[in-house]
Amino acid sequence: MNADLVLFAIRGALQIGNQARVAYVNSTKRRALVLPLPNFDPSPDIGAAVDFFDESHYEEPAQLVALIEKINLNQSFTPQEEQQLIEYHNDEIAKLVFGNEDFLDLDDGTSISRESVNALVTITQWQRGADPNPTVLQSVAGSLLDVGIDYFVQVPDSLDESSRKGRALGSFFTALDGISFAEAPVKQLPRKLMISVLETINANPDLLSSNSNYQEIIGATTRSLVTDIGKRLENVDNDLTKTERIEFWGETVFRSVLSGAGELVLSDAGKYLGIDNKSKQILVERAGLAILGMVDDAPAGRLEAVFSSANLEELADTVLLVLAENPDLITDDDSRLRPLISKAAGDIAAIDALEHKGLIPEVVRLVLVATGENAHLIWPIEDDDPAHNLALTSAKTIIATITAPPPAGSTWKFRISDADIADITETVLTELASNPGWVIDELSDGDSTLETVLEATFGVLRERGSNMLSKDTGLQILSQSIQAVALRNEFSEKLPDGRVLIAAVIDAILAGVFDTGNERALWQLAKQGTLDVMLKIVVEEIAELKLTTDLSAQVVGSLKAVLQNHIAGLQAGAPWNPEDFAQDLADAFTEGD
Amino acid sequence: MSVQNRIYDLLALMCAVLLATGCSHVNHLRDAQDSFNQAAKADNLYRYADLQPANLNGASPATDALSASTGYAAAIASIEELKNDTKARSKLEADELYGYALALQSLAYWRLQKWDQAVDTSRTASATGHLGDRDLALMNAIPGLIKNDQAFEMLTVGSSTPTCTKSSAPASPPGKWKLQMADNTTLTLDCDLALIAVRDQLGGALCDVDTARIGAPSGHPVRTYLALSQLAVVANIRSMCGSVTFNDKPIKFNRDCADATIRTGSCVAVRYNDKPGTFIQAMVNEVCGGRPLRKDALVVNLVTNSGIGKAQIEAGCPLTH
Repeated sequence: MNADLVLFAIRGALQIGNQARVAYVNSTKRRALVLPLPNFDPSPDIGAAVDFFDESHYEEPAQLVALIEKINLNQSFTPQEEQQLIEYHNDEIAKLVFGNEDFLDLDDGTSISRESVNALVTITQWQRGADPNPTVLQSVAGSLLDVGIDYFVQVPDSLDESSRKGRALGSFFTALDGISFAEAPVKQLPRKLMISVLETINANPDLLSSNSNYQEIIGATTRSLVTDIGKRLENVDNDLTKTERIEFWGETVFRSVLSGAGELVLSDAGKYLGIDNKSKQILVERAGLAILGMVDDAPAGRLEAVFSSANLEELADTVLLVLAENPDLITDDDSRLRPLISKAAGDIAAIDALEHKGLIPEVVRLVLVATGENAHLIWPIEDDDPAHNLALTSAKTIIATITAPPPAGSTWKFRISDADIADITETVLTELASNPGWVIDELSDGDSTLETVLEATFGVLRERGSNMLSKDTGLQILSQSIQAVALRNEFSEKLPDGRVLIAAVIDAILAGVFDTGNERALWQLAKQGTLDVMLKIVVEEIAELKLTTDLSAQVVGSLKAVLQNHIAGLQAGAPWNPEDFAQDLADAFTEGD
Repeated sequence: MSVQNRIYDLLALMCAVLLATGCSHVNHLRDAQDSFNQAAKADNLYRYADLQPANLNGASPATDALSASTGYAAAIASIEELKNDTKARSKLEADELYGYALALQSLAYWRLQKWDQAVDTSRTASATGHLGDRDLALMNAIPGLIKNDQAFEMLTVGSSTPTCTKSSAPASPPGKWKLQMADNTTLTLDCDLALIAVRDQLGGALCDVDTARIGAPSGHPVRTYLALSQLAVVANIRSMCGSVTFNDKPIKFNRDCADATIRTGSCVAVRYNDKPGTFIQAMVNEVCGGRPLRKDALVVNLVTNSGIGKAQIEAGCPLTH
């Protein structure tokens, strides 16, 4: 036995011994006492007998019936009658207590014995569940865990420090060493978290072989989450459902942050390693707490169903990356990141038309990415209210618009998938990140630009589209309309007839193609890719112009004319040439300048 | 031996081995607790075991009176030793056990009829601010429990059975006892001062214990004990009323006399609408604790001796008026 081990043994014995002493003191406080009753004469007297039989009814024996009659008439008893009544009373008490047989079992499962008197008055110090002191098991089990942790910290050789598991567990135990389990109400958590560490390491063997000091991540994550989970568990009293919920999410988030941080280290080590050690720890701590908070802030059951371990890991990855790039999101009072994540998850989940809530993690991730890319415009530092985050408001607008049921009479119907919604959302948020101004702006009638453009474009697609218009092409057109507005805000302006310019352009194209009446032309133009290329060309050419309201109306007219010419060419058997189309458009748009 | 007892034994062993001198004060207190518990068991058996069926096994009541007083005295001596040992006392205070030790001593003093010491010690125990729910409630109840036992002593050995005579005096001047009868007539009795003192002691006992009971957490088993104690006070009140003699005593005199005496407790007017029946029912319902009345001889006797009729007992808890 080496010196370290001897010292550990002494320290451990003292630690357990001290905790055992505390438990012993507490058990002395809570010890049950047999309490003596105050003095009284328990034998019944005539007064008790009179009150017992008063207003009672007996058919027999005749002597008792006569005595009860005297009670009812308030007549005096002779001494003999008093004695008779007391005897009847004793008999009735015996029947009440023991029935007509010699049974000795009580209704509550105990049996009458001479000791039953004392069983009745053996009183505990606190009623069940109200003892303010930790139980013996809690005290000693906590200390045993503390000692176990101390053992691995003080005697690291026992873990084979050169092994991956040894290094990871060493960090884990060192972090746990700073937390008093004897007082924190964590029970199964440390064991579960230790398994998470091992599984994460096994799944990502490169983590510990890199120069990333991944152990720091394990340590910081363990410290912050276990302490936070302990506080949450303190507030649920003995509610098992809430306890299990918190422990489950604690373990899931812990695993996700470990894994997400690992991804960051492996995929973008430069970014992670470029920040100082303290910031690294804060980054990991805040990411974990924000994600845990999101689950805690949501009503029970709403988010559990949609967050799998996989998409929580993805979210953790994003949060870490965004935080690494945007330290402004980390505040001392945690007033920005956690509320944003919680509100994003809650608001998206509240959109009724969104059937598959599995999209929520991805949308939260997209909101965070967009926020991180242009934080000073999308969510200025002086405004902590997540409701004012443009990425979040935009994401909500997109999802609410494109998942809304089509109006009656729509000719183009499609079933939009989660991936489609995510794609469109990503398009909008990407454009938003590079140029937030167009979302901030309102149109002259006060409507939001984004909402107006989306509704107008979607309206045209539903009205003009046919079964020849594929879902993918439709979504491409929708994306392009958003990009067009981001490119030139004039695309969101309204023409004299009230239509939005980009919607009018799309309407002209779809009408020209689908109303051609010639199958050869229709086949060439409606095939995959042609329509969105055509729209792209139109947008690019229009974007070159110095637009006014009148000119915009003329441009739509010119577009229709050029389209007619090209469709006539197609009907005559010529192929469609995008370069020619672009040139013809440019000529038509500048004609008369 | 239960698992929990084994754990305590293990803890005691660890404590003893690892910190040989660090736990002796706790062990000493636990010895005092053991003595008290043995004494209280003997005390209760001595007084109430005869209520149980004769065919039950158990200790002979005849030998238990001495066991009780010896055990209480041993508990008092143990704690006195701790109090006089400066080191042990400091350790008890550091472990916040000092109040518990004093509470135990106060209870033992009470049972040995050392009433002044019992009251003084209970006050010091409460003043430590480190009592658990049970002991705090008991210390609050000590003055009432003492009043009851003082009255009981006066009833049984302190005075001969008093003889009251009817009086036409309308009020209750000293030496007179005004009773409100069931037919709304008023009966004023000429009684000796001893009986008047007993009456006042029992009325005070009811309310002291009632205040302690209400102060204990709802659902705590000490409330059951205190409610049983209050029913014991009521039993003494009825005994007192039974001992009052005069010519042409009405058949339901005991009930009227008990009701009038219970009303002398100021808490009855405040907490129970001045209705003795409501008060007694509240005590019985506390004893039941939401379950059927425990068919234990002691409980049933206490309940029937408090004037609860057969019909109500058969109807079971909670009793209703």
